[in-house]
Amino acid sequence: MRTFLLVVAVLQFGFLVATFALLVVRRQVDRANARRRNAEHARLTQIVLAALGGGPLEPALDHIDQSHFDAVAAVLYRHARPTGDPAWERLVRGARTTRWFGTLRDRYVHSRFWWRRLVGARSLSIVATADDLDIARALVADKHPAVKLAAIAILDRAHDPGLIELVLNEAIASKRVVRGYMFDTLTGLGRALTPILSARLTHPRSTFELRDLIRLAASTTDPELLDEVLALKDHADPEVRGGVARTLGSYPGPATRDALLTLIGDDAWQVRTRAAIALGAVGGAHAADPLSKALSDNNWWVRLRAAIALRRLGDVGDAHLARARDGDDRFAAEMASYAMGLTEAAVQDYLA
Amino acid sequence: MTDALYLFVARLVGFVDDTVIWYFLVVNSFYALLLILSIPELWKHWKITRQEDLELYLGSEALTPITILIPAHNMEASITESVAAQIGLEYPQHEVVVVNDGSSDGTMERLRGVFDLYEVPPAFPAKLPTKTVRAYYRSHREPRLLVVDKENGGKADALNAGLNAGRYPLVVAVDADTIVAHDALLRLARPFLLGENVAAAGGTIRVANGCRVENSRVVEARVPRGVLSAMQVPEYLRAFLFGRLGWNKLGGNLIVSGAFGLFQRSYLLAIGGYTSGNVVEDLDLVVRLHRHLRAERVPYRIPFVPDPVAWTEVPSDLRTHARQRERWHRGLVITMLSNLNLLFNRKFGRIGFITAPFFFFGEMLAPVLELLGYLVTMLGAALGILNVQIALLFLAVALGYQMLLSIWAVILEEATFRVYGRVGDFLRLVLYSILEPFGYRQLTVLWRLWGFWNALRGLTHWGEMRRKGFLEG
Repeated sequence: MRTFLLVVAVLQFGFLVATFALLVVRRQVDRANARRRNAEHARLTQIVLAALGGGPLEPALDHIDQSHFDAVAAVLYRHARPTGDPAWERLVRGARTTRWFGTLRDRYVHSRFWWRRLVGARSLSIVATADDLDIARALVADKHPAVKLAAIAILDRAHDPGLIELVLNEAIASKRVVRGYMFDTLTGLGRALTPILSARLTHPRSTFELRDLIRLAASTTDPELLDEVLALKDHADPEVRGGVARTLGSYPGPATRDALLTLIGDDAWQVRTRAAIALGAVGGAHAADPLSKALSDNNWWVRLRAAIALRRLGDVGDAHLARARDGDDRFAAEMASYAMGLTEAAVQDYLA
Repeated sequence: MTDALYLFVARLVGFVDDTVIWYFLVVNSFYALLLILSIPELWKHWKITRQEDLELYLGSEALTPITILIPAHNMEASITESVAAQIGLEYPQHEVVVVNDGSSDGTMERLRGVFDLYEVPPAFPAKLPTKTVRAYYRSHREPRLLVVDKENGGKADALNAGLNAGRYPLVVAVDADTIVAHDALLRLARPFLLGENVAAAGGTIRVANGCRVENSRVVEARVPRGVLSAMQVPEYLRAFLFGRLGWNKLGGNLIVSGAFGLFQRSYLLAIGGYTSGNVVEDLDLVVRLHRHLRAERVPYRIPFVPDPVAWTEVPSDLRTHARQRERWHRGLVITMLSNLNLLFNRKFGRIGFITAPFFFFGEMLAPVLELLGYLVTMLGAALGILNVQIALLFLAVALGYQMLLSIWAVILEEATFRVYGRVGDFLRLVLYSILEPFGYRQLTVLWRLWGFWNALRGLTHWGEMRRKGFLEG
């Protein structure tokens, strides 16, 4: 036991001293590196900004060629401009001819280390072109979620139907928040998404998929999808019907209103809640009566959303709320009183 | 003393000595394992942090909205700054629910005055029973603020009232005297973005004492000047950077800090919310959450995320420190003893076979075993049967090991987030890591033993926490 403890004590002491030395040396080395990196960063930023401001491209490309990979990636990402900006596209064309891009393509996007692929995906999201579709597909399908998440931003630069379909499939297969994040990117594509989404809404692979597709349709607010959405209002799945109600809130019109009047009487409270919100959004005098009735719903969320929706209808809604407040139904009266007391900012907060 | 008695005592001392040494080896090997397992986890988060564009998250509707719950009892001095700071946190959609838990000072009046509150009808579903709610208020100035004014029922009761009134699917409970970093909510949402089935998630709690605070934000992290507060900095680093990160790999955390933790509201409602009367509501809550989700066979994780930071004021005087540690250990003992059937229970998987046994034997019993070690050593010395050389060597190994663990926590901090930028602070951090086993550790053992004793006596009070507040500027 004594020998064992002695050996452990000596090893520990040695390790402690070595660790302390390592900490001190590392701090000094890091300070020196940080100074060098900051200087390089500042120089590169200045030259890249000059090139983006219309200055000569060659000095920027020379610096990109000579600078550390990470510094170039960070500076370009920080000062990246929206796709299509002429100055940015000129810089991208030049940057793609540099050693930096070669390293990105050869050593980062295909690396076996996920953190390198993460840097690769992030960098590619600002300099990709149609030539990089194969790489983009591989990164979007990456097994590491952080890489996948970074890679979907490449869609902004490459509106390829195959890639959009791949991202859509990846999104549907993902967990809710990841899916929502991917849907955000898909929604940003505008009309490029419509034909793909329309086809999938008409021929979904499953009810689960349809629930997600209808959610995506709600965020696109593309009128070309209205017929496909309306066709689903009687679907057997309450989540799909709820999605339809939510989507219809973006399409004011007689067909929409009729569908919503049906949906606010749905068996599922989630659908009724969604329908109440949507009726408040599409507005109109027809919305007030069913919303007023919904104030007596046995579900708290439906009552709340109906009351907020009535506030959105203006004077007509306020009149209905006042009647409910003074009425016999205690729950309706309480909710009406609550909604009437809210400031406009609080109502907007509920609608956010 | 007869020879037979002497022989018996000598054997007993020898047996206890061996037990303590083996206990030390096993428990500390486990700590070493946690340390090793924490490295890839820390590496993962650090690497993502460096490539993460939080502004993209801010513009996204994908992140689930969050309700921030602030239970407040007699917080007149700091409540409005705290509420304003939580409202100002960066996140796509969040609301702040302040629960005034029957304060006898001017907490409610301060809130009413600063936020221009107006009363709204009690149109909120009360899914969890709480003490009587006197009134609900909204603010003319901050649409995202809801104030619940209720009779005093303790922190858990206040949190339950907040849970009833909150409307978003995620809930973050924040102590009123905690400073949450402006981007902490966005960072805390990362496990959701990585596609994990998150039931709850915890962030890092760091020591706010000594830090430079401006507008309820820590703008410069410093190691506090006071020895007692400074000693707690490496202690917190150790507890969070590798203690809880290591558990991410070993079956999940048993603690999500009550000062800053995120939960799925539906799960909290399903388990009946916080338990009133429990002195460590966070531990109790997470244990019950594990039990519920396991029983319901819900796939879930309770990860710890290292980079979202909340700053808290730690006790700077011995009396408050003693009360805090006593309460923590008392709560641990009560929770573990009331969940004994978790131990080695196949139904609870790794929680039953790794996490719960470690908390029971490695955490709960640790001060008792340590005291036993000291007593037996003294008894051995008094009887002249102590092998002084081995005792000293063991002491050197034990203290050295403690130092190593603390230094490694500092290394992890240095290699990744490096919050303490000044060389002086770094050197003091190392110094306190080395000094911690001399005196401070023994003090905490004493407080924990006191907590153990009080738990066995059935005490359930919180004890007063005296705080000095943050220094602005």
